Amino acid sequence: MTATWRPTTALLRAALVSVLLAALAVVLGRPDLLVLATPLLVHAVACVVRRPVEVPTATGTLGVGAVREGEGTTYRVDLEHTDAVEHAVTAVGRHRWTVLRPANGVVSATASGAGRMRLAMAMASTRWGVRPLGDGLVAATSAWAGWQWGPVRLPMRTLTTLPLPGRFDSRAPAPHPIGLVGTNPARRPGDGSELASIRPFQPGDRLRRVQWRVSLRTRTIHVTSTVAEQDASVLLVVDSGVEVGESGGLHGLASSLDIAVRAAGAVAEHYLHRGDRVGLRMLGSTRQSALSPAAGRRHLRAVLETLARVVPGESAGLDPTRMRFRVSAGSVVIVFSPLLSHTAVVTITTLASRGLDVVVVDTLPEELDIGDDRRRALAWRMRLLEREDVIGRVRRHGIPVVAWHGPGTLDQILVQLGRRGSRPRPVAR
Amino acid sequence: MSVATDFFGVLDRVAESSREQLVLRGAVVVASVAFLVLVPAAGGTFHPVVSAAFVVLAVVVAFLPESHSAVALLLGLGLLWAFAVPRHLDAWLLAAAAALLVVHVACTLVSLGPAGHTVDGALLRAWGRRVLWCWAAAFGVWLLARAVTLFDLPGSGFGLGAALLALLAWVTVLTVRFAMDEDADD
Repeated sequence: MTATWRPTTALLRAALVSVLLAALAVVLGRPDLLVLATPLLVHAVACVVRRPVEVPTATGTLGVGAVREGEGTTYRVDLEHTDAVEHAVTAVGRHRWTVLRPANGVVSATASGAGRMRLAMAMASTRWGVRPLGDGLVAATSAWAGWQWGPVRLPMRTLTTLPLPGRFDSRAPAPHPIGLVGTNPARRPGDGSELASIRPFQPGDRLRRVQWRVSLRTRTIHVTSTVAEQDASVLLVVDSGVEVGESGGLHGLASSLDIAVRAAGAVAEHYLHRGDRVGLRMLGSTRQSALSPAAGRRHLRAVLETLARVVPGESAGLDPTRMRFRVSAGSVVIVFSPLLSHTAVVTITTLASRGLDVVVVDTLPEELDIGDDRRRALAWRMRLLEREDVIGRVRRHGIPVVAWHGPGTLDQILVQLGRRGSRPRPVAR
Repeated sequence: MSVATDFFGVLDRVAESSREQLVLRGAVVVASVAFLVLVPAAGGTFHPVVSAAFVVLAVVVAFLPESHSAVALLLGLGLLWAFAVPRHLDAWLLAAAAALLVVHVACTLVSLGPAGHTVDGALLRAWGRRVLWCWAAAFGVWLLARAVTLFDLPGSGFGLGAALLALLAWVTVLTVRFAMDEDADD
């Protein structure tokens, strides 16, 4: 970012006009022309006398590198060596889903004589994603607007906007918790808080488990047994191959990918807060497409950052039948998909055929603007009919499909999956 | 793409201008028209076609204050004064000098930043003081010229030569300064 001081148009204009008028005044013997030229001559002389020497330097920084949707940060342009600067201005490029204050992205400041200047503007991101920001120009002018430094291009900064997880809550336990410690009642008895049965005392039972009422009534010592509590493993699969609908940002209409990303974030946040392990897998062209199951707050951040990097588009070399999901037995797989791509449907049925509990969250937006084109509307209707057929096929495989509606979306499904797991299964002979 | 050929870009910039910039753009036209009004007021000849051409040029300058069209406007108005107004040193001349200064300063302030740029109060006050200084200098020259006229001093070849030498020195200073900047840029 190097630039030198250059004479401004104002200085050139003042110098040229004043010299020519003064010359004309002298040649024609017209003192009135000299009077007309004098103000411009004074301006030109003042500019030349106060010619700056020290060259400023500019740096652009973002307040924070990552924000949630709707949150804001500050973009600052710091100018050093500004002794000769009287006025500085910066203009930052405007991007979709970025709100600037002031809205035109132009901020200026007049020097206070401290040797440094700061131009700051507030910016907020209204949609998840990783976007370059802060691309713009900065320029400064000396006293009397005689010399200009710049415009100098500011380096691009990257702002990661984490998805703002939608509201989600589930009272249903995970169907098959298989971990070590957690909050989900397991099938085996153990040291938990969920009542399993009241049974006769056995060697090794703790005294505090003695159920005195039953013991007195039956004259035999009975104890309260509990089921173990284990953590569950949840794999979130986000279908980013197709994006339906136009995203209007946080406060506008949501596209299918918006719904999928925010819903996946909400589910991840819910289960990770409960102490379960959550993994993530993208179906599409997103570069970082997998995250192994893990637990903890740091992992939640990793999940949200991975979701923020989702890019819509199909992956050319993706074979869903050969995909390795690295998911352990007993895991619950939640697929977020508008069910419009062949890849997603094959992935869902493949996962179910491996014996995993698969739940499909339908992320097709309810409100879609197809436009006034009748042929387009007809084509979309045909596509929806095909989609209905696909949903029917998925359901026939025993895979529940549910539309996303926030808290309680998965409750009934997870309870049913839990019951199904405890039922005896018919074995084909 | 040059400023002049990017017509829609120019319109966009005008539409996106801040309130201060709009006022300053308006000041360019108003001061130019005021100068044209001062020409007949100072005893000069009114040329409707020439005046209309200058108004059009002033509008162009108001749209493109950062371009060199302002040089043409200021020079043209100066030449109009030279050829249309007889040699008088009355108060109208001071008003005309103020009008030219307003055109120049308004163009300068609009060009300080991109469209939508707000010129803050401190800067406007500083420029107000500068305009007063410049105009005061013109007033001083005007007083001096009136004194010289009052005493009806005879024309002097030495005086003319000294004035031309001073002018040549100033042009040399400017040329050297700008040439140094060009070398530094290369």
